Amino acid sequence: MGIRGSSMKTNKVYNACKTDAKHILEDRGLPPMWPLNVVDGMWYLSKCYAKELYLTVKKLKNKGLSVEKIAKLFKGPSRISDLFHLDQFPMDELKPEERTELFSDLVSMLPHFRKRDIFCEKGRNVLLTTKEVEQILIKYPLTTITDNGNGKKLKRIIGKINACTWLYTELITVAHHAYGHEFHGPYPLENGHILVMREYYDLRIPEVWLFTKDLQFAKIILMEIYEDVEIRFDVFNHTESTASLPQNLKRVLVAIDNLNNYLSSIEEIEQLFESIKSLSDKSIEFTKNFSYKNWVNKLIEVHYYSLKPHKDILEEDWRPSSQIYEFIKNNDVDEEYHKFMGLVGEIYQRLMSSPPEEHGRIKEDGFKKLMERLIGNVMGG
Amino acid sequence: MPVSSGVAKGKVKIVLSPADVGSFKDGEILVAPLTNPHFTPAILKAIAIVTEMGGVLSHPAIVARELGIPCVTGVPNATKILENGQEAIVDGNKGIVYENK
Repeated sequence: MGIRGSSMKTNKVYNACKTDAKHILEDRGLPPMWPLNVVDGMWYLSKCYAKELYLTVKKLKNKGLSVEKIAKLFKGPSRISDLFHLDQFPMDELKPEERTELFSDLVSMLPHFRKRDIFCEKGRNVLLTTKEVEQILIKYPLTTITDNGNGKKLKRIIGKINACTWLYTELITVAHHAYGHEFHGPYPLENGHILVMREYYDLRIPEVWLFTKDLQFAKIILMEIYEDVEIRFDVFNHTESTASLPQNLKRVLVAIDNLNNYLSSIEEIEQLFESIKSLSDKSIEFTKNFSYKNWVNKLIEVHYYSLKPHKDILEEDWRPSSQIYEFIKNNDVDEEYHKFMGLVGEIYQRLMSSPPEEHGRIKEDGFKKLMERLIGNVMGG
Repeated sequence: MPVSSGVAKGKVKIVLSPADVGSFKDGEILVAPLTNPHFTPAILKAIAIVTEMGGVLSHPAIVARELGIPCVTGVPNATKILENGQEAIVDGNKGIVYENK
């Protein structure tokens, strides 16, 4: 397989597909299987959403909007990176040059958020400059966490807020949690400390999830300073750390909707956790009897909803058409899906049944096969 | 696989579906094939998590590190080998689950 960098678009497609292929090959075990196999979801998205996404971006460009302005309407870079997974299936409703243009545009959007290393290959998701970090640390009063009773209590409650909100966003985004949060940093500070910013957003979206209508806020932001722990974020906003997080938390600020609306007491933070837990309970109750196709519908709606800011500018309705729901109702994953799952399954099987010293070679071989497929889905006929 | 550090002792509670979540008690060890958001009430009470599947970026791993509790993933047949009420020790540093006799 030869992709030679003769054009910028080709390079961008290659890098997007490479990002997805590396992610598939990472030691993650199986892909998320709840509430539906995430690969099933990508099949439906490739059939229903890819064209909508392409046309929306195209219309905005034709209207004179810059790539930067279009990018910022997505709210965060991880949402954009998440769209690279569309390469897993042929996007039949688009021509090869349209698919190439779409992927090239998506990659072009990332530098308008990420200051460097737009694919987070070094484990950092850098959205703030050093000066911006200095400014927010001066402006906002982070609480220093002591080792006494209140300090331990605060560490525990922050851990629970993060765990509960992460699980909640995983549910309402149908396992595409990059649509529910943007964690960024780590930003190095003095004394080996690091700052991590957590932004959970679109927590209240009654247009998709009716039970969220009474939530008093749409966003939670945490500023967290840690010591003695390394934290990494990947391009899809997964978190990895060398130690459990609450034990190493030194300073924190919790805010609602924007940083100026920060909570001043541990009691207010505990109340916030209770609100999130109550919301989580409602989400579980609401979805407890969901069928597979109910979940697929919600997956599509969440993705279409992410284009609402774009559609508002175009004065178009963001909602999926009735034909989309009919397509979902009447169609199940096809041969292309089984071919892809067969390929991925074969790679995982070889990894599981081989000694560690052979994994490098197996992954290299698997990477070549995946790339051939992924790039073919974007650029092939 | 050790995916969240720490050592915890407690009683095992097997969670196979949301139906098992309601009876999960504070301080129990959550043992499941894999966790999901429908298990949230149990996850928030757990002293440790053990799953049969998943790697370092899997959901139980991410959530356990946020909570600061030990987690071991990739334990084949954990939900069959371990039993409800059994006393166990979860070592998230070494990736081992012991019976606590």
